[in-house]
Amino acid sequence: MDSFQHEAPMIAESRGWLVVPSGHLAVSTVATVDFGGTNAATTLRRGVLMLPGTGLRNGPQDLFVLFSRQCASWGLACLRVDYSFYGDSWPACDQAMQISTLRAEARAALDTFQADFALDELILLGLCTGGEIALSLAQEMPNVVACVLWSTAAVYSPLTPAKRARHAFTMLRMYGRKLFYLATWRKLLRGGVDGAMVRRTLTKRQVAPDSEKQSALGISKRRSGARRVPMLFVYGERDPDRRQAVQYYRRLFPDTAAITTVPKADHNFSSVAWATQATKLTKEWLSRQGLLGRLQQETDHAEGRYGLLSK
Amino acid sequence: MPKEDTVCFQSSGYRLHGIVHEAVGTARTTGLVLLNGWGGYRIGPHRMYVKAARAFAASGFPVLRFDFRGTGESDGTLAGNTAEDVRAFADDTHAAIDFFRQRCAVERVYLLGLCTGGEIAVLYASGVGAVQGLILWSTASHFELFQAEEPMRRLRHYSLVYLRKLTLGSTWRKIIRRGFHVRGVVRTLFADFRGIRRPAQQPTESVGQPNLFSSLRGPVLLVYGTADPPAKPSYSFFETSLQSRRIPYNLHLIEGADASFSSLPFVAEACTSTLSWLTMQA
Repeated sequence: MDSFQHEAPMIAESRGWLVVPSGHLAVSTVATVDFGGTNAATTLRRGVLMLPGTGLRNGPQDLFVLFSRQCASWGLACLRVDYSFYGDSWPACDQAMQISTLRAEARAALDTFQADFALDELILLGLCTGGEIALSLAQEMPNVVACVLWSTAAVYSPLTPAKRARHAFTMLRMYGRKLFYLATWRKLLRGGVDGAMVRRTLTKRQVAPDSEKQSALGISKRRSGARRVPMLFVYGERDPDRRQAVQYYRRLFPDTAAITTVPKADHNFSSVAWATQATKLTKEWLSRQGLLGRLQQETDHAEGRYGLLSK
Repeated sequence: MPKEDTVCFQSSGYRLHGIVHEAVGTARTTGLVLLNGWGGYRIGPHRMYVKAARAFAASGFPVLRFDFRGTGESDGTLAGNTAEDVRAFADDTHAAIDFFRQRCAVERVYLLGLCTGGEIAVLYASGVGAVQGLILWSTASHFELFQAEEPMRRLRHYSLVYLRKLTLGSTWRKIIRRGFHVRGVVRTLFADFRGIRRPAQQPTESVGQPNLFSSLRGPVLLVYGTADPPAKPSYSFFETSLQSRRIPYNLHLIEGADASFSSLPFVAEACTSTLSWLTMQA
């Protein structure tokens, strides 16, 4: 199957495969049948591409599944994608993630999505690394009208002494925990612990420079300012990367970025209340941007799961 | 790419979504339905079900893996971690088997489940519906688990768990804010010494002993990791039950593996042992 299908009543859901050079991506689409109802001819067709970080197309705690069904009830077509090496996608072997590959796959999915649904305008929604990819795609797609970025870290984040110290502390804590495992002591007694690796981990010398990521995504301070797409950044208050990311994006997009925080939430908004708050903030922002053309009655069949749609 | 189709079928009015892996080459008349555990998806932990399904399909066994209602992309909601949900999952399993039989012209269906998925498989084969065989990966038996001969094992295991938790900042925050549930900890550690039973939320507890495996038509494969604390009491229980019912079974232990076989060699061994057992049965 080279593409994915979309048909069925009211809120139509389908799953399928999208062929890209790196493999077969598993995709899920949700859409209302008629987009603009009786004014279909004059209403712009909008779609949302949801990009997970390095997880499944479901999103953490099925957040993408639920939010895409909600978006569909507002007249937005939605596409969720498993990158290759993730979820149901091919290839199945385990390889290190290459951000350039993820970006290329997201672009291929976006092109097919746009063509299949004859979309006029696109909204990109990304979580974590998905947000970085969304930012990157927004630079080159003229019909991207908005970006929603959940828990997206600063793409360019210099390794400051504070960050290095925080990293070392986190790693020390992890090693401390490992001392409670019998397997660790067995490894220690057998001389199987790689001291050099531990040192490298603690001093963070093994981490690839962020400039590589910048280059793969094509994001730099100069280029990112080139396109003025409205952006919403949503962070959990307890996300360790929040502070740095907020400073970075406020400086990078002083005119176009709206930045908001969900109190007490973590990186993945992993509680019902936090997920609800993140989606509510997103809905309100999309509405203010005039992107929810036709708010329908929220009668999605998914109503009730985590209570997301009842808010 | 071997043929995989995204599929949708109904169970008690809910739309359930899954993936069918069609057999490569000459299709056998034996197929597998994979059941995920609590909070899991059709993907399985660390994509184990994807890899296993592709390996089985490559050997000629068609496979269906799907999301239970209220999980993943399927419709519905979960009532909570209760026997009610497990009963609903058993209904979903029935719908999945019916769908799979028609879709892939399969005559004999084996259920494969990891952890709670295995318990749902046991529940299903204990009077809910007929099934040819079971493959239970790291499936705990909550009938006999942690009973009289096991309290020391349980105490040792959970003491280590709590000690590890003391290295977490969140644990100390919880203690300082008095959010620490002391009675829960005591119950967890000393339940067996004091004769305290855990809340009756475990799936197989709802199956009466006389019904156990009552609708099972064929053999059982038990696969456990030796580093999984409840493994020994669980497979001992299943062995005793299967022997008393004269149901043929095989036990395969994976040296050093934990409950979710979380390393590539463990997954490979679980798949290989299951595949060779299935080939013998087919």
